[in-house]
Amino acid sequence: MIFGTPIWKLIVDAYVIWVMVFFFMKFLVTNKKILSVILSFVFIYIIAYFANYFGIIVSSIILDYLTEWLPIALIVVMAPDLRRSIENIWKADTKRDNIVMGSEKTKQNIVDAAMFLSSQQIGALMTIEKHNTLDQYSDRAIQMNSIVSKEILINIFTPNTPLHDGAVIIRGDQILCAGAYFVLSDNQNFDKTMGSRHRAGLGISEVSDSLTIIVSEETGSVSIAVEGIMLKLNDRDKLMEYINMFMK
Amino acid sequence: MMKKLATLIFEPFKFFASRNFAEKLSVYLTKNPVVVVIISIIVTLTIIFFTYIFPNITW
Repeated sequence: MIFGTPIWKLIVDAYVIWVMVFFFMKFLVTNKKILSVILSFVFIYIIAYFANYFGIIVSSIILDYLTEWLPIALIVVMAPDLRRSIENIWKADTKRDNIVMGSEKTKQNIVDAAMFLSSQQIGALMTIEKHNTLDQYSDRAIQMNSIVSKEILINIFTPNTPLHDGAVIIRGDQILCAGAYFVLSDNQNFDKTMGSRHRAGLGISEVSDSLTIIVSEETGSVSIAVEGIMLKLNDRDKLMEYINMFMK
Repeated sequence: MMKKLATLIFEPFKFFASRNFAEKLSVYLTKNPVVVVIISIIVTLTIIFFTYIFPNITW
């Protein structure tokens, strides 16, 4: 007995609280937007506390009103993000522990294909997977499971063929699938005229640790998107350098 | 330094937003899942302390 409470009750209570706190923490960590809003709330709650403590009348009235309505506002405004976070809590960890990156030959083939497609002004989107699995996208695409080769990549992106629209996902030395569709990035910092292919490449780089090579259909320029950043690289050596850094 | 202070006074939300705390925190906690477990344990122990032990302490 601890202060009149049986120990087993205390342990069970502690365990249930721990599970709830742990899930809440995971829920916050999985979505940066929600975490950002929650931090703003904490900031407002701290100001409200001090306003009440020091008896600042007008501020404390407004802040009390705000703190009362903020949780409801959070639910209304962040509804889609909340739903996504709740879904992610129950999902298994999407990180692959044993990753195998592509060989030198694979890197060469990818770069060769990108440069050829660029010279022909054929649009292409090639995503190289790393730790975060892209199974959720490949499951809905056309499965290929073929060895990476320049010829196959060129063939996939040749216009007016069934697979040319969408992205190719590369895992290790294999082309996992073709015709994959990603969520487009809504990053406002990039040019409004940026096409949907570039936005898709940027979008997948924001939600995973993959590297995406984008070949523009209009200009033939080659860009890479990684960790939410897009870089234009029209130089073969530079592209090889970035792929080498990413696939080591 | 003065510029930072001026931002903190005139635009407190911008001051915190530009530091990207949420992003840094999220990345750190994703890379170190053990920290999430440790924070959860600390929060749990705090709640248990204030529920069961603190009201029974006689000063």
